[in-house]
Amino acid sequence: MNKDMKILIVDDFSTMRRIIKNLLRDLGFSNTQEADDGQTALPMLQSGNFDFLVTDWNMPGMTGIDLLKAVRADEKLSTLPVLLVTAEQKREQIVEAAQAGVNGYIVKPFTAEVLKEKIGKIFERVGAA
Amino acid sequence: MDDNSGINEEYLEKAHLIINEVKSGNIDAADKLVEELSRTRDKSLFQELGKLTREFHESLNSFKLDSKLTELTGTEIPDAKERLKHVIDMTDKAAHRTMTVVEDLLPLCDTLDVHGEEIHDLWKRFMKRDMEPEEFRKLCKKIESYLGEQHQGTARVKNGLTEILMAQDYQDITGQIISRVINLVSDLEVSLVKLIKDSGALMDEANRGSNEKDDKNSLDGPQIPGLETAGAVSGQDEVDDLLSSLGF
Repeated sequence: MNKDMKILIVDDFSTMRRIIKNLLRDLGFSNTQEADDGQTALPMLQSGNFDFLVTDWNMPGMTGIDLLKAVRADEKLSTLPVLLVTAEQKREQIVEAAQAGVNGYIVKPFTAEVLKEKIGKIFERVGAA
Repeated sequence: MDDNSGINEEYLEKAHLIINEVKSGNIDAADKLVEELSRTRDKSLFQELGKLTREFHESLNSFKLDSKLTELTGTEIPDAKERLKHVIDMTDKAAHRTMTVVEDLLPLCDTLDVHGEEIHDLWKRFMKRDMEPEEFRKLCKKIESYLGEQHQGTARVKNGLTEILMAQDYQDITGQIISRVINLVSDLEVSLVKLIKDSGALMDEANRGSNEKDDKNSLDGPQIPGLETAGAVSGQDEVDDLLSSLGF
């Protein structure tokens, strides 16, 4: 796994972005940028050569699930690995995210271990594909 | 029914009189009686209407007098919204204050760790007598500077830990604010139930069922212990199980 990969963290709460940023840095990923909702994130993704997207679900403006769908619909971004980190845990929502093509799903509150494990799995699979 | 019994007797009496007058051939007198009878009917109608108007007026007044509800909706709810916003602000500040200290101290720990390890390695070589005197002199200088660094660093860590401790002071205040909002919601509930009872508009069971939230697009947010949403999984393990059942 490339530790220099460029990661976009999307969450409407700056504290959560900061927590994720710090956890990622602890895991050795320090090339991160932040956005506070899907609307801000999408243009950044389209112009920024990101390697990985970590996003919340429930945000004003554009939600994480809509951002995921927009990413999958965008020719250039369609294969970008996406990890949802969210407090939403209804079965139908998890199924919806899976159908929309999410690569990993973490429910808040979460631990550093879970984040590490999911990122590991995602890139193991992406690498194998 | 008591009101009606008087009227019924009057009707009966008038009807007998009309029959008698008609039988006796006094049509004019009978006509007059019919007119009186219809006036009696109008009178009871107006009485009923008057009663309804009075009741309506009284219940309107009782709404006006229910100042608790006016106070709740007029001042206390906007107030509560402000207070809850304040809770968000305070928790936000506390989280950032804590993270600033952590972000400041983690690199310090890394530096101390690297320098300590460096000296430890040199020290192990010295103990194995694998060191020139010139190098040993350098080691002594390194140890001296490291001890100073360690001393200052520990002081910074201590200050930082105190700062983190102090940042937890939000819990007391936010706890109090949230308790007050809970009380307000209880008051509002009591007032609303009273309003519904007074206006006699209690929903029947059938209506109640259809009001249950069933919007697929609505987001439930964090699950609260004891208030879990139907169809929600409980934690990461169940999420993983569900996803793996979908082929993930």
